[in-house]
Amino acid sequence: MTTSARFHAGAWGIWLLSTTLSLSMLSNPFALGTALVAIAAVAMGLSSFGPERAGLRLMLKLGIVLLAVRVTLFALTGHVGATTVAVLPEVRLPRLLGGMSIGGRVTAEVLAQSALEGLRLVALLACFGTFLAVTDVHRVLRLMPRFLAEAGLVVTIGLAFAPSILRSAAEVRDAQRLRGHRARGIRGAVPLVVPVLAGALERAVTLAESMESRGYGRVADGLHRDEALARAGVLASLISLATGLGLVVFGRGPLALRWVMLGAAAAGTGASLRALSRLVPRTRFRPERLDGFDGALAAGSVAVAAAVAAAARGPGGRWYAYPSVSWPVLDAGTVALAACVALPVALAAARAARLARASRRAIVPQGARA
Amino acid sequence: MRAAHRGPLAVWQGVFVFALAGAWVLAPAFGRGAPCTRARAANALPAAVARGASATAGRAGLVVEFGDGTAREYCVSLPGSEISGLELLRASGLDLAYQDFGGGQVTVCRIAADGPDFPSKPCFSGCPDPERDCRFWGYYAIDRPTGAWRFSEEGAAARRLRDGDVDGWRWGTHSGGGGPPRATSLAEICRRGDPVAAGGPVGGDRARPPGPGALGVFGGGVAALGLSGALLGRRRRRAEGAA
Repeated sequence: MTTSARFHAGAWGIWLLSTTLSLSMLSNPFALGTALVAIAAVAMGLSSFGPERAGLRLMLKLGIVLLAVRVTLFALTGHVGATTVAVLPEVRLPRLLGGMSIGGRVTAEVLAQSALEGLRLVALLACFGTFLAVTDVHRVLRLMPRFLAEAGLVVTIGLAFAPSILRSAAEVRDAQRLRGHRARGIRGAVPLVVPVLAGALERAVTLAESMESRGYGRVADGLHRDEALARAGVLASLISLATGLGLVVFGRGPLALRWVMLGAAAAGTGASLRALSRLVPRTRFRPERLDGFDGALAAGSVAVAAAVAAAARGPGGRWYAYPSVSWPVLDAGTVALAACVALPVALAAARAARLARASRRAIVPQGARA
Repeated sequence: MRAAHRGPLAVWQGVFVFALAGAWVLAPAFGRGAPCTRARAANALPAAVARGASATAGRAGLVVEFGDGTAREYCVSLPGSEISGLELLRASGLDLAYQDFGGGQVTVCRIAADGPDFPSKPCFSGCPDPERDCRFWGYYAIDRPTGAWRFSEEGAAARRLRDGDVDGWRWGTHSGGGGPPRATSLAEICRRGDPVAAGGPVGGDRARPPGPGALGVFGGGVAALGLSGALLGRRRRRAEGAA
């Protein structure tokens, strides 16, 4: 069995999905804070040391800004809750602008609850930032089903363009600075923005020409009717899937019918998407293989999310500031579960130990033979 | 060649996906307003309303009708020139659970024993199907000129009551058979009910903070968790540097 140093992108995807689910279910500050630290541990321990880290930092900054904005806006506009912290001068907006009152009574409940929601937002953004930092976007896109190959290609190109535009922006800025240009106001930005846009346009045209010359975007003959049929099938099954979901969510129709409809629609969607995939004459180049550690990461993440779903209903996973703010419960079990979000750290340490052992075993017999 | 297979089907797929995405984005905005407590724009009243410990500026009435048919009436003396519907309800001293949507929008889920206890149950779990048996706390107000009950078009936190206003809450169905609370006027409420001063003590037992020992263990565990990640990262960086 080959054991590579990195986890499979699909395993990371399952970790991302189950962690975001856990984060949206937990509303206890202690549990949420622990989960945030666990995500930070994964980011510190497993992210590559390249430019992907900049993305993570950006996400964290964005999260903190959103937290501050959320707390400020909610504190100024929400006046509910029992504990008054401060009374500010009050301004009532006209009816056309929503009729809210800004200022007035600021309550501890609003502050605490909006801070908690903001903390969850920071954790969710950190989760996505970590995912982007530990996986390669191109590896993730290669996992796309075949019928999405074109869309995946578009996203890949777009993502590849973003860093190159950033790089050219830095180059233009440096060049203009060497010429003595100083960015001042909107007018000062023109010599910086125009060359970047022109360069991006030029690069896009070059790329389009080179792709066309390599035969991208061509459709094999004889596929048109089949493809139209498959697309019609996808559309019909998606509409019935939406109908089935609507029946289940809004509780209409006999109970058995709702679920039968939903199940049939889901099966139909899967079948028609597979038919569409079969029409795309592409194969995957060097598909990645899953090993035991990847499987453990995926299964462990799902198990943690399921356990969190069960624990989130208890007092240790739940907290609500209204009507009067109170201390959250510190429950050891729920906090330990939230810490399990850092499962990739433990698995990566185990995998590194195994790799080291394997390489030692490979070296020692050679030395003995000599 | 390429344009040939992008027929009207592809267009409809695009429309469908957009409609789904739009519905997904807009759904919370529509779903937020409960039938009874949709927070609508408040009247443009003069700004800078005096609050706090001023002399009694007036009285407002409150009627709460429970699911078993009993009703309680309160004659509340206002702390300032006006009071929000939620503060008036809080002044009754009844135990409340309500959901806050931010921006001063609130939905009352439970008063005393009637209604779902919000954080542990969904606020409208007594209301599985809005068209059939749907029980929730309906929010009514007595119309000033006519003196008749009407369904409040503002949320409890957005509505401002001034001297002489009356609010009513009723647990039950509100379409068809269920109407507003039994008719009363402020004079009747204040004759019968006991006077209550707004801003009185708030019920509810406060949870005690975790002890220093538990907090210490928690802090130590979280610090160890963060440290393990940092250590692993350092080891990996060193290994990468060596390679």
